[in-house]
Amino acid sequence: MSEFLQFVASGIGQGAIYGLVGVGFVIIYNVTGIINFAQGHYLMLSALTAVSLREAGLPAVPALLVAIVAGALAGVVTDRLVINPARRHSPLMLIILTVGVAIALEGLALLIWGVNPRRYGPFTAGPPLEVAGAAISRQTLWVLGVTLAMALALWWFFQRTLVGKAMQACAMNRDAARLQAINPAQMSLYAFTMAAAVAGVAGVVLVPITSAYYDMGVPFGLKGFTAAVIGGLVSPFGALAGGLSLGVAEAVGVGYVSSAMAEGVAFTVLALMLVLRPEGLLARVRMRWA
Amino acid sequence: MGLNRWGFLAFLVGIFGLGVLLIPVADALPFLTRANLVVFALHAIAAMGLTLVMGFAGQVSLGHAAFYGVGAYATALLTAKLEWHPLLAMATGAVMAAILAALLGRVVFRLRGHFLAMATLAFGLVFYVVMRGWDSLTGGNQGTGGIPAFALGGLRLDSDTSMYLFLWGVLMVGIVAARNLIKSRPGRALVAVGASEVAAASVGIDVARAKMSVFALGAIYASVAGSLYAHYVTYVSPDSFGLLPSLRFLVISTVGGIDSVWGAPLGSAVVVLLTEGTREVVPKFVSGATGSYEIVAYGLALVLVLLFLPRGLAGGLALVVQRANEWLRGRERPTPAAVLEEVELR
Repeated sequence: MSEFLQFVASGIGQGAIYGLVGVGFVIIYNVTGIINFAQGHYLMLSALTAVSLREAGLPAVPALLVAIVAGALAGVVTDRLVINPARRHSPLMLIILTVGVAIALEGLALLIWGVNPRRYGPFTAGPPLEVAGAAISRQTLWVLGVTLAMALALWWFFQRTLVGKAMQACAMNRDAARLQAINPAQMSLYAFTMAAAVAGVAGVVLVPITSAYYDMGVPFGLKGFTAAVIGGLVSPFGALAGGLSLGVAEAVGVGYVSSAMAEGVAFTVLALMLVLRPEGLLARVRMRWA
Repeated sequence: MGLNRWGFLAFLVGIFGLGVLLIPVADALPFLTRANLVVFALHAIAAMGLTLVMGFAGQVSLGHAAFYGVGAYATALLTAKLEWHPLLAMATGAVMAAILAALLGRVVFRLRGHFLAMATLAFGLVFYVVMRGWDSLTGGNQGTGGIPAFALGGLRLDSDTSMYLFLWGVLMVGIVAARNLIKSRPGRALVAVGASEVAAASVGIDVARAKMSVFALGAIYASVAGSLYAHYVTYVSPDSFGLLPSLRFLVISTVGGIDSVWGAPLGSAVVVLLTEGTREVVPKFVSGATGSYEIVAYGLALVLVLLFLPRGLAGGLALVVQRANEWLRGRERPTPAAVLEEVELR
């Protein structure tokens, strides 16, 4: 049992990251109907930017904030330069366009940062803490805290602000939203910006755990997508829960079987979800935020 | 294009001539070699399979390189270790790829388009992981070698030039087969499915079956190209069938144009030029650049072509030819009958 608890403790941090990436998939999919292939690449961009700024000697807080803004800007660029001009294209073309954005971002990162992984230390130094017999690293606690804060912020945004409610309306019915003077193109911009910013936050808190490297976009994107699918692709909280369970499942797979299993677990879960319950485990009819 | 059978044959002969002409062109250009021509033809054949899947069934696959890998590994293991005849090994690979595609299609085509992209992406990655991990069969990361050159009777393809000319022949066969398919009854059913699944189903077309068969057919194209690739490089390893190759096929098909049989060859030529061009230019600006940084050009090309030429280069070229024709003959106002005919031809 204590062994199992240890796996939970080591998987839950990664899982929260998958969840945050998954939240971005949910927001963009519900507001625009697009699966954004570049979702994991915003995380990569923010993570590598943060490393560079830290290496340049910027203090931690401004460095991380600027890096998150850089990720969000990539979202803005995706929407304004690529998605918005192609609004009338078929869904097939829109997906391929986001693939194009992802490849371009990855190539750009390769040119700027090279192939070697880079990292900075944990936010607070010190030995792991002991919780119920399992050691949990301090950075994992930071990840969980930030994830909780993001979840609360998202809940507040979608429940309490006019823009948040407008985005929900857009998710429910784009045409009806338009009749209420909501501009879907503007909502799409907000969705891409928010999704990229959330992924960026995930990126900068993740660096001390896994390092940052130019081709992390695809694995984190695919796992974030898996997390979102577990949650039925309709609910940000479902995506977070999906991410946590995926992270733990991975850690258990690595612990009990082998480290080569880690990739296998996520793909198997994705395959099972898509075959057995494409509507997700926690699915409800429409996007729900609480 | 409203060519009759003989016109089409003459056209093919012309295209083959163009393929031959590419040899001196590659020799003359400093950054191209005959090996680039072989790669161009191999990728064109494999990507033509993806073009069929995307253009005629409206489905996207981000795991196409896995089928390329099935052919390559089948050829590698059957010819190098069991000393089978190359054609028999190629056919075995093609059948395996088709079966795999049909099985995958059964599962995946129940999904909506968005999920499909991710599911095929995951499939491609699983294939890559398995080829890397299954040491005893595939040689793992090291790969497996000792594959003999392709030989058929007295024909032995052991030089870049002979390989390239042979591949052009295969490419032509692929084009004719694809063209005939489109005009056949199942092909017209496929076009209908691509245009509107609901409408196709309403006239009695089995949509799921149609999609599965085109997916299997696309896998066969990739597998045959993979087999020939294995004979050409005499050695295969997982990295040739991972995510990057899958994305490269996607770029080739989309940039070339997914609703024309000429899309894949055009796109493949562009991708070879982009790859070699980027490798030539980038080191002059970024010192110490390593890795497959040409993907930055792939991504930009994909976005730019889709934004400005949604029907790809083949579509753009067709438009240019049409305009040139109109200009040469003097602009005629199209009769309603001509418009109808054109709509039908689409």
